[in-house]
Amino acid sequence: MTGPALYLYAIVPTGVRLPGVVGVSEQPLRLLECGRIAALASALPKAAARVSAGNVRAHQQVVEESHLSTTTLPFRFGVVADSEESLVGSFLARHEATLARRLADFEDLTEVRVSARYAGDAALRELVATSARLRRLRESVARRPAAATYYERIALGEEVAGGLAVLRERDADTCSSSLERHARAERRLRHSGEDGAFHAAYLVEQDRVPGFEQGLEQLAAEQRGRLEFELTGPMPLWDFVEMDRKDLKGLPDLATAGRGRGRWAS
Amino acid sequence: MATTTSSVTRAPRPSSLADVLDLILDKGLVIDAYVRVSALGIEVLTIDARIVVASVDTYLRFAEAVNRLDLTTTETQGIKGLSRDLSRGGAEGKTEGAVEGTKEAVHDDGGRGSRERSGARS
Repeated sequence: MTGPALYLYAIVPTGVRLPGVVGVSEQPLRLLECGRIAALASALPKAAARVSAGNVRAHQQVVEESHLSTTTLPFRFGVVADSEESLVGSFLARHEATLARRLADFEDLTEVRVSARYAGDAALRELVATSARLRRLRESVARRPAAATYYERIALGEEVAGGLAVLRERDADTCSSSLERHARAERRLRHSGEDGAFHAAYLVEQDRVPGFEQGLEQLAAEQRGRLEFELTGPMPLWDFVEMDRKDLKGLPDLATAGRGRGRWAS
Repeated sequence: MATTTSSVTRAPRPSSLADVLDLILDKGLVIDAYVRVSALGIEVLTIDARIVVASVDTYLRFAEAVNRLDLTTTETQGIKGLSRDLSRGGAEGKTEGAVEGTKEAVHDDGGRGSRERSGARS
């Protein structure tokens, strides 16, 4: 092992300007180039990055800044090369062709995320309105003391959860079918919380972001009072760098290198 | 083309620490050959960090739900006990303390930077 370990942020095209921010542990950024590609990195004196909010934010910020000015394939937090020689010699050199092709695939693309939540108790009201069984259980529970309705309340809760799952699925399909057409790819994400209805990431051409936003505004207008939407981004391609080429619309279906899903064995 | 009647909320980036952790711990390129370096500490630490953040989130939700309740008839002793249990998860700053604490429990390369950086979140 020679030289200090290197903390890695992203793969970028060669010759780009360094983002004007510092990296993990407040180290200056460096660009290690190999052919058409370069690794955005910083020295990591102790070969161990502490998992602190500061370092997590630093990683996010470096990747975001880089994405603003050039095609950026982000690394996951905590990827470290043991030396400059091994990074350039065994990783970059070996995967130069694959990574260069991937950089070309993602040129001028950006990511936006959309999440939707049920507004207030809109979902519950809908469920009550559409399920006779739910109404019956609810009235039965409401008329008697809590101690006497333990199992009925569980049944009521199960009914609500089941109804919510069906409702969510339908709403997710509605959202997806209006938004997908504005994007090159979609990835459904885990929605969070009990009022979560939909969560997905979209890979969008930079000059089509306004069109995507208009599509979302229209969807939000149609769903007013039911669903509340949040748009995050444009941001780095966090959700898409692991994607196989064949999943990307409009690209020739070439074999992917490595073991797929963004992992490159070396 | 945002209009004033728009019901779409906008955020330039995922901003809560939990969202950011979700993003950068789960997504992005990984190189198999180098994971061994990470495996010495970071992999373990990130998992711990996530557990801490996840439980904090839960605590916060509980706390919020508890706060919303009408507690005029509840004795204060019960509330005090609860708030002591929740004290780890009161704010993002606390979260970071917990993450740093986890780190120091696993690694022995000192707590030298932890205090300096404790205000470094944006």
